[in-house]
Amino acid sequence: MKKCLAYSLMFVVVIFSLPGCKKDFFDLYPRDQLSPGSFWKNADDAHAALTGCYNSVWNVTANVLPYLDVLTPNAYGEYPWEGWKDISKGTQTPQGPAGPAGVWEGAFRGIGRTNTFLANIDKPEMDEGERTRMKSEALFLRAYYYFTVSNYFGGVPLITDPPDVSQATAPRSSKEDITAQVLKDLDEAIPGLPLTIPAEENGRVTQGAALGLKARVLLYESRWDEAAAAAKAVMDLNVYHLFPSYRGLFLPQNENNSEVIFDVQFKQPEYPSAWDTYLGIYDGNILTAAIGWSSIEPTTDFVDEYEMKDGSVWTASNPVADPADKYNNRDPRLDQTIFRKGKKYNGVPYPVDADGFPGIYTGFSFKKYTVYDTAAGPQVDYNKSEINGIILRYADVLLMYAEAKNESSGVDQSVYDAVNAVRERAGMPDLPAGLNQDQMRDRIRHERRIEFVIEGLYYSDVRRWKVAESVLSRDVELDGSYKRGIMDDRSFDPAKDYVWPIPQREIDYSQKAIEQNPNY
Amino acid sequence: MRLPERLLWIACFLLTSTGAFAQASTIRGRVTDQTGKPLSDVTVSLKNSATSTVTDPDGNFIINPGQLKKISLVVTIVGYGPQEIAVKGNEFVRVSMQPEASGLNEVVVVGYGTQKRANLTGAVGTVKSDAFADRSITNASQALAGQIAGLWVNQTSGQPGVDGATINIRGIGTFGNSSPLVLIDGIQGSFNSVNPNDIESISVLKDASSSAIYGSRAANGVILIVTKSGKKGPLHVDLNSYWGQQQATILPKMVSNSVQAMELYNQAMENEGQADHYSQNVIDEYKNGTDPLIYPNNDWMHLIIRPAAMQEHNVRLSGGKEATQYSVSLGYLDQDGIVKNDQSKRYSLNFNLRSKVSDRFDWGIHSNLINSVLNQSYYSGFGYNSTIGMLTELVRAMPFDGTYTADGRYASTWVNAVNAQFNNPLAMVDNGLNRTTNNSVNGNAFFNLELLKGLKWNVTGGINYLDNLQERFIPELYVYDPKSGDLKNRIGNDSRSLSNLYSKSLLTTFYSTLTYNKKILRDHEITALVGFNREKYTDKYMNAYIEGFLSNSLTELNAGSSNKNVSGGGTDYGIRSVFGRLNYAFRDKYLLEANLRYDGSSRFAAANRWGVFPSFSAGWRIDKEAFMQDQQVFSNLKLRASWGRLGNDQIGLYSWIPTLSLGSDYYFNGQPSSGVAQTAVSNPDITWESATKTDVGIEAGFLQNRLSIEFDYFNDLRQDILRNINLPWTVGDLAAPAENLASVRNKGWEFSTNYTQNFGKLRLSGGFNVTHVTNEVVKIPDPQIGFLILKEGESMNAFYMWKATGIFKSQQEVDNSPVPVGRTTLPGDIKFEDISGPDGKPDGKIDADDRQVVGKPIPTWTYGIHLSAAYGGFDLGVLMQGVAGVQSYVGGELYFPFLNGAGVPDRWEAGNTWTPDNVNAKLPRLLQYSAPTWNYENNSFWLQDASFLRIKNIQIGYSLPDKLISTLKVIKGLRIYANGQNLFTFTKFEGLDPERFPTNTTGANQYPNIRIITGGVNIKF
Repeated sequence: MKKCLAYSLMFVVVIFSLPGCKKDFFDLYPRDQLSPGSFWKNADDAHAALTGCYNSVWNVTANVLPYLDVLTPNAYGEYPWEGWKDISKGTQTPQGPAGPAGVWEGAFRGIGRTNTFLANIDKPEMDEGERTRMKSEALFLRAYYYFTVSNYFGGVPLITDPPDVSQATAPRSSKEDITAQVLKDLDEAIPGLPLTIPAEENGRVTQGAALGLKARVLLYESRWDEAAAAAKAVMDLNVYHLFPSYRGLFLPQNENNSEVIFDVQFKQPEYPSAWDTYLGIYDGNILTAAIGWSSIEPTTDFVDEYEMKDGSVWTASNPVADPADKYNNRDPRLDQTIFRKGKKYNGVPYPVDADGFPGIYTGFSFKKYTVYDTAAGPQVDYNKSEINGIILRYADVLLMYAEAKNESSGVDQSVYDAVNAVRERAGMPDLPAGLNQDQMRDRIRHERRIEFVIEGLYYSDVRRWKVAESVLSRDVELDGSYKRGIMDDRSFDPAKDYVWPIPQREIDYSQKAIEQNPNY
Repeated sequence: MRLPERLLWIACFLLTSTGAFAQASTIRGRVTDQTGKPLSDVTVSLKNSATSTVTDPDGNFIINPGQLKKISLVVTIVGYGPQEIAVKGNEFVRVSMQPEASGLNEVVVVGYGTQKRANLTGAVGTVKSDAFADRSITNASQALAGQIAGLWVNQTSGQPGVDGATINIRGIGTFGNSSPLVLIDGIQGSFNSVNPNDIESISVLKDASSSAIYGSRAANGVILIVTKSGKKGPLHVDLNSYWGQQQATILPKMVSNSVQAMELYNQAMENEGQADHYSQNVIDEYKNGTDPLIYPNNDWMHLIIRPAAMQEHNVRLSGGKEATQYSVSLGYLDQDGIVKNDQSKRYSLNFNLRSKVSDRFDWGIHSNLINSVLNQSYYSGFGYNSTIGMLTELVRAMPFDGTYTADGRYASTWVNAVNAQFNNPLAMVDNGLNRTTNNSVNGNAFFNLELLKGLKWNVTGGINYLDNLQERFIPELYVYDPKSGDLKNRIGNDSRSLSNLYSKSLLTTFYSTLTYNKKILRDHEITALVGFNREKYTDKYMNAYIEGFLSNSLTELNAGSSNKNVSGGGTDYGIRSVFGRLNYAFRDKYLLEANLRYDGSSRFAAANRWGVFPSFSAGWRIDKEAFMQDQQVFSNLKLRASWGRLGNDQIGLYSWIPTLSLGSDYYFNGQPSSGVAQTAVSNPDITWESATKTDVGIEAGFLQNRLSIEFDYFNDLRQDILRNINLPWTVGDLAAPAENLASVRNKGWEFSTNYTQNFGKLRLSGGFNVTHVTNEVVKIPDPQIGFLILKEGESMNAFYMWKATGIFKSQQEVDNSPVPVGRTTLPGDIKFEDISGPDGKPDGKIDADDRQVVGKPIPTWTYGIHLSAAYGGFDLGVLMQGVAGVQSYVGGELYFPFLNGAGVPDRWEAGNTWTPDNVNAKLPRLLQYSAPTWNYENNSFWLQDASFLRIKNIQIGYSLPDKLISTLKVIKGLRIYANGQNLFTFTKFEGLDPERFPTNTTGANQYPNIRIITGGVNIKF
């Protein structure tokens, strides 16, 4: 009996002294994540959340900006699997390609984060000036994300509250409502933003960026007076100046120069792009350490667009033309933007031999936005590109001003000054005097196409100019070793192609609350 | 039948017993099974006496008959029919036991205890080690294929070390992890944590009654693995070795003639209205080319995938005295993969000990230690089955892509390939490093103490520890033009680098039970069990990355220099429970059982944390009734029914906790700034999935149980199924929250039968099992639309796509039919069914509204057949496994031509595809994947019937006769055998092995299943 008692006691002791019977047994939280309850307490929290808002800029730029030009006659992309080519052929569907879906997803990621930020930024204890500035930055970013997604897709669901599952069935608002929200956010942001920022803050939003984006939004809406005013406001800030070298503008060593108004700050290996690989040429004998893909190549159509160095147009009989090579004696930007036959690429003749450049399809390659140049230099691995992607720069502000002003009130000296400033920096003579409004319009459009190639602007320009059906259905000529002649089969149907198809997933997952664009 | 059998045995005794006169008054003898293998632990008792003994591992026994005049031995052991033998004189008694088909007396392992099969009131399937002994089973999950009704065992890969099968019990009831809970010797583990050769038995708990004691984790069923333990007797050594050869069951066939591949591509371009890609000059040069390095016709599939060797050796030492028994085994498995340079090794140790200190106290330990190393191609990433990415490159390689240049470097091609970047698969398998090293310990220590008469106290503490190191070195490799020798490209896009990912996890389990057993008034037997269980899981991982290696030769972190990158993290999980069980039996005739478990889990918020899981079951052994005593038909007849509720908590660990993620950083002026963002939506309201399971079963035995049948009807309703809902990106691009979203019903029946019969020396047995399951989503608030849909009234994850109705034969037919919008449709393209439009009515065009359910990935039928025959020392076993009523969708490189520059499957050869001259072709017109066609959008044209019947295993063995063995003295038994796994498959499924994940849409990344032929020897000392 004693034994039994002893055993029973043992039993009781073992059962009730068990490790883990403590109350906190179930209090298990993720060890590498923060709890929202303890967040939004101080300025550090606010900064971290704002950084999270900036983070999404990558999603709408890194695999987007240079590719947008393969949708236009500026460039050719051989590989359909990279997610863009179908659009140039007019064969995109709600199921694909992948590129547009990435823009939609990335923009709404940014919108969700800025909405969360704006809903909470009044909570932390922090300096009020800093709070206002950060709030303004977030407003700018939200405007940028909304503008980006609506530019390509038209009206989208307008959500300004922090993400909530109930928003899943939010229907599309009109494009006008989105634009109104974008302008409202920008107007609200402008006064709270600094004019200039110290170097260590490079990449953060400034007042010029908000004004410049406002100019672009208005320009895209053909609201010429307002667009001109906004662009003029940037010019009047007297903060931004054209960088002396067009080529240098796109080199890593000159990042954050005085021409850059807003950009995405790539940084390898943590926040890289792969632009050197997309643009770099696919030939082991030229790029050895790392090989480009020749994914995005300039077309003859585009290279032919460059004026002669005296501002005239190339013809075989033009006295400035070099009979040996029609691309000699051109706008200096040509050789600062493009590799072509007879020149050197990374120290080696371009191309190496007539049949030995497997990846070159058009006969040209992009130099702009790569580190590669005539002389041999360091080579960049895939996903190790750091050159910041410029979203808005002063040359764009000048040309936006010129265009808006020309459209609203016709040619005047300020229009000339703006365009000529851009041309002078490039080493081109001034526009001839006495241009009428239509002539000036053509000159400005030409200038935009040349100046901003692979910066992602031309595709939007031709759509807003409503000339996409003629420009974007133009076949391009290929002059590579394997593919020659008119090989491409481009098509643009104005009844549907002015906007992209909304990813089918969004329609399915919203229980059809989101409606598809017409004719998809 | 009975009389000749008896005569046979008597004849046997007479033949073998001469010269075995013993002087003592004891009776000596030996008990074997029907094949002559000695049986240990057989109870030999004297009729009409209390005296009994058990046989030793060699089957021998000695028993003292005392003063009995008329001596009769009763010989019994679980799984065999009892034998009664009259003994005359001092003869050496040889007893050959006959297996019982039903295993009525068999003791079945159930949750926190054991039970006689005859007294089970739940649906429990068991597989014993002899059902899979000597087979080349490399993962314990494979042992269940075809063996048990109600199980869908699907082994989708033959990659060494990654070849476990997925197991689903009675359909699939949940959207996430539907694998059953696996316990090894009572401790939660996985099939990877145990060497199949160490397994004594596997119990599968299929209904609520048997599994409710595991509460919140039992809804997918429970599998209990028991490892081999020692038996009383002298040291017994069991050595088993086999050697074998593996090859792919089926390999995808790509066009491997270069000229043909080029011409087909040109044809595809022509069909698309484009110019030829490969010029006639190139094709002609190729035709006339003689140098095989410059003008190769490479079949990459066979350059990389070839037969491979394997061997396995296991040795077990076991034995023990009255008080203490032990079993220790060592195992070694060395398996090369059929993919070149894939390889896996496994070392295992199993140690079980049990010691009875006194009549009231015993203790013991169970332990399984495994060390395994897996090597595979570096190319496609970390992880156990990363080789699959390299396999995709095999079908992306073109036949004109070279192997090596004349001077031995890796080759590319001089031809203008569509995808200019060639990743030479030979380079990918011969270089770099991708090694996974795994250590696992699964074991426990326990004691049992009898507190009072009939009241037993058990305490068990166990751990399941895993540590894992993955090392991946990406080399820098280049390919060269075989003609010019020029550098063409680097292989892959990643920089030369090393990643070391180390992780470890520890699950500690502690449970304690009190069991009380009492017989009241002879007729009433009560067994009650109460227990407490606590489990805590914690894991941690670290990843280190470095670049800047000087060469491809050193593969340690210290050999690198730049771009260092580290990451790491960890998680925790805890569960605490109390449980109880009550069994009541009246005269072993009426059986009642009730189970209850009360579980709390950290996966849910406090308010939803605890769940109650009850079950009730009853059994009626009709054959025990008085009115059944005179009939001769049934030797067993039992009716049983059960009902209960179980849970499933298989959802992310912290789904209910709102969190903010770090790592959304930005780099102002090139300097890092930490970013925080919400990346997922949490849902604090989530709780268990609950499964309500009903089962009615009947078991019957005939002919002394040599024929047995078992039939079960089941109806499992899973409610509040946890699933991450579909959320559009517009909601902040957040990972969607889990919700207790839907209900799914799995309803069906299963039937199994076994039969054994001897015809003289010929011993036959066979079994068959079949299961029919209807799976249906019975409730879901909104259909979850995608390639796989969740929709009320349909099977779970049904294929949702356009329905192909044929191929357009003429332009006129195209003009008169609805066609997809946004793409051109021409004769030779696939025709689709127009079922709806924006208004719900057919609208004359094919768009998103016309998608419909066209198939399902869960089989309606699963079945298994096993046959065995033995004659003298020879034995033969055949196992078959099949599924039916299941579809599988495969697209990708293996079905679509020239996908993103890949090769072309040989089914697209000329003559098979639509042309104006061949309008009745099987396949549509030849178009490359990126052509503006709707043919390659997800549609039912590419959906295939994935039913199959597979000869899973054939084994032939020969055991040396006892007479010969007894002259060898040292050896107590020797068997040689040959074994064939996956020998034949009958299926309509084309191009790939049909045993696959039915929803894996890219066949190219599927590691082939393997056919294994082995030969081995089993020696006992």
